[in-house]
Amino acid sequence: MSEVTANGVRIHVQHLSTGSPTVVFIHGLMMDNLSSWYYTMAPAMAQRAGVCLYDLRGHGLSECPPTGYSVENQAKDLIGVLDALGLTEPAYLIGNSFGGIVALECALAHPDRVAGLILVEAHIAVAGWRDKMAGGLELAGMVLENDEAQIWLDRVGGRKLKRMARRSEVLLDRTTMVDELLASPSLTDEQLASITCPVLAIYGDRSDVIGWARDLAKALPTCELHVLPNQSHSVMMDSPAQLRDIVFTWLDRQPAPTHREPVRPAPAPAHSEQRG
Amino acid sequence: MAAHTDTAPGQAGEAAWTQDAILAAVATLVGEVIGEDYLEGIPITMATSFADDIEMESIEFVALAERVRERFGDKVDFIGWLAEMELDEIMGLTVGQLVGMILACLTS
Repeated sequence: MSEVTANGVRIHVQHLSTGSPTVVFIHGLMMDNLSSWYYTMAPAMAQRAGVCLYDLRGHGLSECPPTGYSVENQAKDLIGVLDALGLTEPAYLIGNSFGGIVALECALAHPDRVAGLILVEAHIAVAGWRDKMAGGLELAGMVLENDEAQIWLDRVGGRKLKRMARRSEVLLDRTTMVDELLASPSLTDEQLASITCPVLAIYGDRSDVIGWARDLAKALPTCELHVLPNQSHSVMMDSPAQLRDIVFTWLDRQPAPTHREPVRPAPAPAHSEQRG
Repeated sequence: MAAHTDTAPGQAGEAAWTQDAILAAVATLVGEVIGEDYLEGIPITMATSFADDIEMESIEFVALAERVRERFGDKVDFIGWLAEMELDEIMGLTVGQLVGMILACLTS
């Protein structure tokens, strides 16, 4: 398993290809991990750009430390991953759902490391975000604490579902993730307006977070917004081909990096005895 | 573990990989990724489905891809193979499809 130490935490990375530009994929919260991007867009992107995926702290095969889950610190994790892989050129960040919050925070706090943002159904940490977030997280917590749900998971859930549920339980019970995220400050319109890199935003018209798409497009002068008809929050899994078309077309229009490296598969990682 | 020794096919001076040898090697890698304890009693055949038969988690499939690259080398373009597939095709993959891809890469 490929791991790097980033911001003091052991992070699982998949460096699929090297070259310019670099595209970093960021997944969503709780039940998600890097495999959702790995299954939908990352391999195709790796044929045209340098591609890196990583598991957020507490997710997938990354370490699950008890603290450090603030948006600000998770942006530092991402910068730490870039540093560990020697990726110094500004990168395009593509975030799904909560991953969009991390991408935006990177653009604000580390603008010299970000070439552009691709936000897919992104949560935006504007006013009201925490209420929505709290609702979603509490709901997840209730489902897992409910005895009947546990019995159901044990009986019919199978190994896969049980393991996914157990990991979410660990995140909720043994880390300060929820408290730290709820305490993370909201972004102001002024902050959003200060982002100068190009931004592509893609939302479904039936998404529960479509309101944020309009806020984003209004506050961000560099934002190109695509609203997909008859799509919900799960655009990435429901319409991966359509999503790829929009993202590749947009990326092809962006200015080429000053120093362009050809795209090629990243060298195979040295075998590690650490098992996930 | 027979297919994971220094005398496995594909090593310098050894015979070329066969479908059976690749299947045995892939079965070993699957066991390493999801745990031999869980696999006990479940035969890995060409018809085995990763998602349905052995309930491999998607993150485990990612780990398997990495081990395939380590085991068979850069000639096996796992990522290029996935790049041509849609989500439902990946979800429906069988061991046999993976073995076939590896064999094609190694003998091309």
